[in-house]
Amino acid sequence: MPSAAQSEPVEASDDLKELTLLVLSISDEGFQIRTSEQDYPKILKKSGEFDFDGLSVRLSDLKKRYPKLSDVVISPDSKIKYQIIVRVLDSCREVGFPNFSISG
Amino acid sequence: MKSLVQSGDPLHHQTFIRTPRRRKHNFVLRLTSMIDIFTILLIFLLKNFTAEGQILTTADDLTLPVSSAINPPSTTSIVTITKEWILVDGKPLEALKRAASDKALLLNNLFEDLKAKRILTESAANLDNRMAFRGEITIQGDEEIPFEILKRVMYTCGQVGYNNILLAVASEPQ
Repeated sequence: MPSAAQSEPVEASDDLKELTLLVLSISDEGFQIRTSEQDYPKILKKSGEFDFDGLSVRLSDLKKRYPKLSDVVISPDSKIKYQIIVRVLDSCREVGFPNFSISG
Repeated sequence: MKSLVQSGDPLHHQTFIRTPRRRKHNFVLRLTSMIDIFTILLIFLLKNFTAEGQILTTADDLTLPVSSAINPPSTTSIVTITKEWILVDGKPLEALKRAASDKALLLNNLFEDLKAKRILTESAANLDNRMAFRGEITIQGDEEIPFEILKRVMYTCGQVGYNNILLAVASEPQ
């Protein structure tokens, strides 16, 4: 994964790590993660099913990059089923983002 | 069987009739150990029953989503969303079809009922501080409901002041 933050001075990136906002949107196509710094490529559905393993991998990468971050905003499409939302919440919690808010 | 008894073989004859009959008279019910077992069972069931609380009661047409969460449920008011109805503490308030077709985000019936509940809780809090309004509410939704409905219910709860929303889920089968 490309990391732009490494070249920056340590103090500045530390501040950034606290201020980063993590948004996870769920659409019919799959998941997409955005932070206040950059957009990550979509995690597309695999053979019609949501790719929760891919999501977990992506989230744990993010956790390594922003160890202090524990908040995530989840924004599902209106057609997304409750079970999918709960599984996404599970993935977030297991990886280390226990504070989630849901936005509509 | 009859042919076996009449076969003329004395050994066969005896073993067949004797053994099962005699045992019957020797049988004694051991009450002490049985009472022990039942007492333990009773205590076990009672403990389980109180720990789970009210949240155990689910409607027939409601399947909770499966999750790996392990936090125990707490006793709050419960908003239930089944495939057809939205209920608060078991009282049906809004048909799901109507709620989905409505343009407005706020569900009026739900709003009024929750507001009444909040006022009730707050007047109880005047009598005893332990009953204070904490803004906690549990949402028990069917796994199939779309986010659209969940969003409206959550928004309505938030408007009344129930901002601490707990989502009820079923625990993963081991």
